Amino acid sequence: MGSRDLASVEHLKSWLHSQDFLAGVALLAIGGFSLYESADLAFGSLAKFGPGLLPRALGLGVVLAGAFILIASVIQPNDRVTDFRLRGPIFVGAALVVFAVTIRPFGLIVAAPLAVLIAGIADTQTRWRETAALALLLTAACVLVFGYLLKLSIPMFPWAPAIASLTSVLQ
Amino acid sequence: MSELYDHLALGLSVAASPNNILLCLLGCLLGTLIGVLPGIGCVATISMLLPLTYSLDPVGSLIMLAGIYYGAQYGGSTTSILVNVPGEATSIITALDGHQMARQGGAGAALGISAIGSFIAGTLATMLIAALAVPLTQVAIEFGPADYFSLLLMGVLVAALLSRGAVPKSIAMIILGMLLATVGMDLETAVPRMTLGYPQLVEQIPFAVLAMGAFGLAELCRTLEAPDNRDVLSKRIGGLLPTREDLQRSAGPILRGTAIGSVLGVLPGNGPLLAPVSSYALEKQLADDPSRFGHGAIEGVAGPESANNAAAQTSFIPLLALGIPANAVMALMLGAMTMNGIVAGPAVIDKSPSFFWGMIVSMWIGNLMLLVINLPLIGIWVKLLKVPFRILMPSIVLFCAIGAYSMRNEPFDVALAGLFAIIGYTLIKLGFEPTPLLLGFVIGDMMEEKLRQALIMSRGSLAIFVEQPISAVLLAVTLLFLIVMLIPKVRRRRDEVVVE
Repeated sequence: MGSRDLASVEHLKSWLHSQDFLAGVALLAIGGFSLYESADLAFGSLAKFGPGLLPRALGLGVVLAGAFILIASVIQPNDRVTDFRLRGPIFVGAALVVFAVTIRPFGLIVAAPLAVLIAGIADTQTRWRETAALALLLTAACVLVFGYLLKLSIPMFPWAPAIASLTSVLQ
Repeated sequence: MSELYDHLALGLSVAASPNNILLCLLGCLLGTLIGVLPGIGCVATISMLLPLTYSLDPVGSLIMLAGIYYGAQYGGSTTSILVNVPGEATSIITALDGHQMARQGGAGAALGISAIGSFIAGTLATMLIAALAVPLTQVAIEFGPADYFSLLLMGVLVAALLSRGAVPKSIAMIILGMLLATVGMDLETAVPRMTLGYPQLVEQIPFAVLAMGAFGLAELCRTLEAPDNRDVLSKRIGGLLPTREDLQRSAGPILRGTAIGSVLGVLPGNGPLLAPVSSYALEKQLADDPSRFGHGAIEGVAGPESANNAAAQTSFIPLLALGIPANAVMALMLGAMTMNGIVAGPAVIDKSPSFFWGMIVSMWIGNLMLLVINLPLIGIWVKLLKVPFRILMPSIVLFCAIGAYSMRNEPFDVALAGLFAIIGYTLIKLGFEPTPLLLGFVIGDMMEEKLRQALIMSRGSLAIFVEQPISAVLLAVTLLFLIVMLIPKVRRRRDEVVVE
């Protein structure tokens, strides 16, 4: 491959979008971040490891691997990234994050249906009536199985005491 | 010999307790269910069910997880045969002739022979494990820290390089996995490392959360990409019992498949995936009329099915005897052992004999269960194929959320699983495989410990790894292997085998 090829716009485009180029960038970012995070930890010596020795050594390893993959991709670009659809992972991730945020303050009774509905957005083939019914059904089943049968310590309905005390005050 | 008998008797007393029988049954049923459903593999399932094991004892949870593993293999074959959709990567080969048999009205015979072959293979492989485990651990127990470090290094590298994916990327994932394992409190100085200030990370990233996100949920996201080919239909099955002629034709393939599978299962790398391919190729070469293969030859079902089950079974040997996971499922098993406070390695057999032998005997019981319980249930499994993915997916997400939360009653873990799902999916899309990441993560702690011990012994000199003869040999083998893998021709051959 001549140097003229390496500089051409087409070539530039093909390697900027190649899977390996992006993979290399991702590794450099992750490795760089871990090196930054572990910079304050004592390194110690080989005979007596400090807490920072392994994180830094491994972070450096990730950076080197990233650099290798990146350079290789510039010399010989490989396939583009195909079918990268963010909708699925974003909403699956969001369903879990919303569950995490709502479970303590509102209980399973709110967190479960929310998680099901948000996960439903992840799928292009969701039929909303069906998913709404599923949300209700699964929530009821989970409260029954996990709350009453298995007695997991998941907050089910944390407002119950609050409502009870409120009604007693009102009476 | 009588010692072996004593061991098996001990194992039987553990595995046959009502509780463990029930867990074994549950695992087999769950595994079959998952194996039948396309789009969710057994690695994904085991990773998503890891939180369950927090509330069980170590033997029980490992018995259940193992049941899921071989149940899934079996369920995967069921869909391969009935609808030509392999539920598991290990049963792709089964689809070749199994589905042709089904189209000719012999689905029952194909299912029957695959169950019988799997059972025979499972039985022989279990005996092999019982016989090999003790001598292997006796060798390994003599290993010093440097030798053990080199052994672990060899195990993780070979396993990662023999599975899918480009070599540099696999190595990058191993290192990244080990890097993730260092998050949390330092073993000796108790200084928190790279916790980003989150107190929830001081104990280390929970293995189940990482596995659930990067394996389970990321795989769900990948299934979401292709809306067209994820639901499947069912067909008629026919009589389940193979004829005498079927059995006669299958006897040889079953035994040869078992032998191939047993050997490939012990070696690092994806034995359960490679074994059926090798067995199919062998049977085709041995056949009087190779042209029947691909058109419903029962040998093409019996051999590979026995091979994948034998390999699934014997891949427990390096895990149980040495603490080295040979593939992704074994990495999950190792994680589950650690979560339950069992320190993997050659000492397990002495320190927790009831765990060790109970586990081994339960494998055989599990195979028996698959034979007598699953065959009559095939009708139900087929109906389950009709549950649409759009219903399954949100349900699985919810169960994952509850599972992640209930391990430590920690909302943070649920959010972390979501984050790992997104990262895992992105890494897959960039051509990285999650398996080496998980391998690096589960083995990272042990390697760190051995590395430190070795370097303390040598007062900081790295030369100890080449001065100790066992370690030097292991490192040389690893290096040789790496060089061979980098030869383009070998790599292409591996890609052919793995991708087929």
